[in-house]
Amino acid sequence: MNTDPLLFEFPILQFDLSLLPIAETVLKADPVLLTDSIVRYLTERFQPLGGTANILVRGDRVAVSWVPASGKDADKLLEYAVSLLRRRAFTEAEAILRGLLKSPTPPVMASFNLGMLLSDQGRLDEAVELLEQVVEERPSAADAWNALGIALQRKGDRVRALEAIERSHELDPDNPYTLRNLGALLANESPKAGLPYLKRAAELLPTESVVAFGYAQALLQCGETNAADQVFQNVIRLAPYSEIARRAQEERTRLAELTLRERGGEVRMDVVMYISGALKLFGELGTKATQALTVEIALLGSKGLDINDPTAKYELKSLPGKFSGLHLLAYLYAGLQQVAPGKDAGIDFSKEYEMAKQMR
Amino acid sequence: MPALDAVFALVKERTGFPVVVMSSPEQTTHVSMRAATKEFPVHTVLLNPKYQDSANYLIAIQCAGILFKWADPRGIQNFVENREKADFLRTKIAQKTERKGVPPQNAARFADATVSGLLQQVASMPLEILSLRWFHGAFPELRGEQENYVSGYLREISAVMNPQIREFCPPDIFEKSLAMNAAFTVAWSGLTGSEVALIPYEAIGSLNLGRELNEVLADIEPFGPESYVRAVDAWATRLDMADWYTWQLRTL
Repeated sequence: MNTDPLLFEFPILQFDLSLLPIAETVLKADPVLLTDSIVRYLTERFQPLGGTANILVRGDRVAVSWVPASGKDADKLLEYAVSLLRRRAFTEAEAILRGLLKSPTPPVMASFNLGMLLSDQGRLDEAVELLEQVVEERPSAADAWNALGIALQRKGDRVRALEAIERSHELDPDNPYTLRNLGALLANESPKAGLPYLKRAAELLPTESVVAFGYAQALLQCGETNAADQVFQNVIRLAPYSEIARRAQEERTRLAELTLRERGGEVRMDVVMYISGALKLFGELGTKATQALTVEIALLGSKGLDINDPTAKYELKSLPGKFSGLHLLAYLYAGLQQVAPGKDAGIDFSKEYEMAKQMR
Repeated sequence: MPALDAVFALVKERTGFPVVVMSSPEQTTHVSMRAATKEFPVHTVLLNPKYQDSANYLIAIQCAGILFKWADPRGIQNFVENREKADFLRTKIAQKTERKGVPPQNAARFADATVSGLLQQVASMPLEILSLRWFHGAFPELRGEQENYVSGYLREISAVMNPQIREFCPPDIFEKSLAMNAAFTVAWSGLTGSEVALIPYEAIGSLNLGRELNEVLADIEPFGPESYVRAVDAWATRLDMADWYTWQLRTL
C-alpha cells in the first residue's frame, strides 16, 4: 500500500458519543466542549498510527486528513477501523473504511470490513454487492465467502447463503466461524444435519460460550439431553457471570425438571415430604435463621444442584447433615415462599407446597 | 477465571471467609457486596447481569474493598456520619432549596440525598482509585475489561456537570463532588495516557483540586492496615469535611 493522504469526514452530530468518556448530556449542552473532545479523541487515536494527522472542525463536520509515513501505518488505520467495528462505533468505522476505499489503491480488506459493517447494520443490498466484489477479487478467501453467506442469509436468500457458506467450508474446512454458521443454517431445517458442524466449531473454539450454547441447543433438539446438559454446564464454566450462563442454567433447570416429572409423576410425594419437613423446621428456626438457611441454599444452588442424583452429597454450614440436590431444592422452594414470596426458585413445586401445607 | 480465583483466595486468607458471586437482576447498582458476618459466613458479591462484560473487574473491585476494609488486625473501621453535622447541613441545604420555590418535602429529600451522597463519595472514592490502580497493575490481561467499564463510569460521574444539576446543587457541595470525580478521572488518565475525559474538568476549574486529591493517595499501599482510614481522612481534610463523620471500630 502507498502513502497517499487519506481524507474522510463525518457530521459531528453523527459521532458516536459513547466513544467519549464524558456524559452525553454534558457534551450536548456545550458545543465547544463537544468539538474539543472529539478533536482530542481523534488526535489521541491517530497519534499511535504514525504519519501526520490534521483534524479540523468545519462547520458541523469533522474533517480528518492523514498522511501515513509508510504503508505499515495505513495498515494500522485499517486495524483501528476494525477495532471501532468491534466496539460497534459504526459511523467512525464507516467513515475511515470509505476513506480507505477512495485511496488510489484501496485495500480489499477495507471492502471486506465495510461489507460486514453494512451487513451488521442491515444495509444488505450494498453489503452483498461489496462482499461479492471481494470474493470475485479474492476467490480463495474463506472468510469473505462466509461473510457473504451471512449477508445473503440476512436478506432471506437461504439457497445462495448456503452455497456461499459451503464454498467457505470447502476452502477452509476447519474455519470455526464457517462451521458455526453452516451448522446453524443447516440446523434451522434439520438439527441432525447441523449438529456435526456445530460440534466441530465448539471443539475448535473451546472458550467461546456462545458457540458451545448453540451446540448444546442443537443436541437438545436432537434429543441428546445428557450430552446437552454436559455442554450447558461447560457454558456456565466458561462465562459464569454472563447472560448466556444464565440461559444455560435455565435450560439445565428445565431439563432437570422434565426428567424429574418423567420419573416421578405429576406430584412428587418425596418433595411433599421434604417441604413438610422444611416448614416444620422453619417454624422452629424463626425468620432470621430461615432467611440465612435459604440464602445459603440459594448460593449453593447458583452453582447448580444435581436434583436427579438421590445421593445425599451436599452439606450446609447452617444445618447439620448431608442432603440430596432434590432435598435442598425443596427446602429452597419452601424457604423462598416464607421469606421472599414470589421470588423464583427456578423450579415449580407449587403443587407439592400446597399439599405439604395441608398436611400440617 | 484464574485472576479471580487468586483474588478470592486472598480474601479468604485475609478475612477467613470465602467469596460467592450471585447474579442479581434486581440490583439497581452495577454490583454490591455483602460482607460476611458470624451469622452468614460468606462474602456475597451481587452482580447486575447487565454489566456482565465487566464482571471480572467489578467482582475484583468489590473484593479489593473488602481487603482494604478488613486489613486492620484490630477490626473493621466503619465510616459513620456525624449526625449533628450532617443534619445541620441537611437543614441548611433544604432551606436554600425551598427558597428556590421547591416544596418543603422535596427540598428535604434533595438535601438528604445530597449530604448522604457526598459522604458516600468521600468514603468510597479514595478506595475506588486505589483499587483501580491495583487492578491495572495486577491484571494486565484484563485491562480491556477494565477500560470498557471505566469509560462508562467516567461518563456517569461526569453527568454531575449537567447544567441543570449544577444550577440546583449548593456550590460548595458541587465543587467537592466534582473535585473527587476529577481525582478519579486524573487517576485513570495517568494509567492510560488519555486526556479526553479531563477536558470538562479543566473547563469547569476543578482539575487542580482533583490532581491534588489524587496526589495524596500516591504513597498509600494497597490493603495496608491503615490504608482505608488514611486515604479517606486525607481527602476529608483537604475537602474540609473532617468533622462530617467519625470512625467506629467493629471487632471481628
